[in-house]
Amino acid sequence: MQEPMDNRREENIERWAEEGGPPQLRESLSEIYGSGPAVSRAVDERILGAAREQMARRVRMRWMMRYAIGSVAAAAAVVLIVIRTTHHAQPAAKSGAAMVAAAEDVNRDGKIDILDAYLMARSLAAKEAIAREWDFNHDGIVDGRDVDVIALAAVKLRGEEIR
Amino acid sequence: MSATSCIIAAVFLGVLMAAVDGGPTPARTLSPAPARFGTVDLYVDSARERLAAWQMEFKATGGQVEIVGIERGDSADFQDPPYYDPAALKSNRVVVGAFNISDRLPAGKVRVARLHLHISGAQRPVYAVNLVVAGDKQGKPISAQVSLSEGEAK
Repeated sequence: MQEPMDNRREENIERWAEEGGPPQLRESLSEIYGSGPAVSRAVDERILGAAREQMARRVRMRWMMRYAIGSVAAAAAVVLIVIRTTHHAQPAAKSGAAMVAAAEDVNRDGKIDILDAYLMARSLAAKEAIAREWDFNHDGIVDGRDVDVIALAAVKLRGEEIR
Repeated sequence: MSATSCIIAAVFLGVLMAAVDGGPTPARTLSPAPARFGTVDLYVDSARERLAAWQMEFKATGGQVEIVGIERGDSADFQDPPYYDPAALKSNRVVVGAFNISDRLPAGKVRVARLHLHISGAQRPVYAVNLVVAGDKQGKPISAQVSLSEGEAK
């Protein structure tokens, strides 16, 4: 059976709000309880206004939550992408031959390797003029122990060359 | 939850899982496998050039291998054991190097070091070597070939 036009919710919800409910419901309630208490239009408006305001707050909150989750997810994605990109972009250091610009780089070729230790050892053995900056272990003497410091720096395990 | 929220959550979870995937793989529990000791000899071949210094990287690229000891080669000219990072022991990779400031320098193929290895697991180990640098008496880099030979495992 088709519902009378007056009792369809979709079309009449605004009007019902003003009249105090669907006609069928009002009639049924009147039959049970007699005529209801008179509610002034002003009170009715205030209740409706409060309800609308609460609904608007909920909608606003829902949108704020969506934007917040989206922003956090986007920020996390950007951070992770940056971390991963940076990690992969790090060049593998030549094994045992770190690129440097230091006193240990005796032959000034930009890396510390066994040739630096060799050249220093040869200079020491030949009693050539020794640079004070070669006192790598800071014991006040430039000797074979300083050569060992360079040699050990050269063979120190760093990034892999062999994969 | 709306469709938009679901998509955002799925993207977020996907990114997190990708990050977790990039992390280190947890060590797997392996069933007991026969363990043995072996050696690998390292060679430098500088052809006609006199070899004053050398440095190379060794790595076990396959199998379960731990370096447990490093000793000098059989060239009398390189009397001292090579330099290496002590952190390489108990690992499968090492950088070794040595030099010789005497006037007697070898040429040709020279066994410069011997590595002692602890090998476990059924998989046959695979090794690789890579020359870092070789130098002549003047300390200048020279071209050289590096190679290895496996000793018998016991």
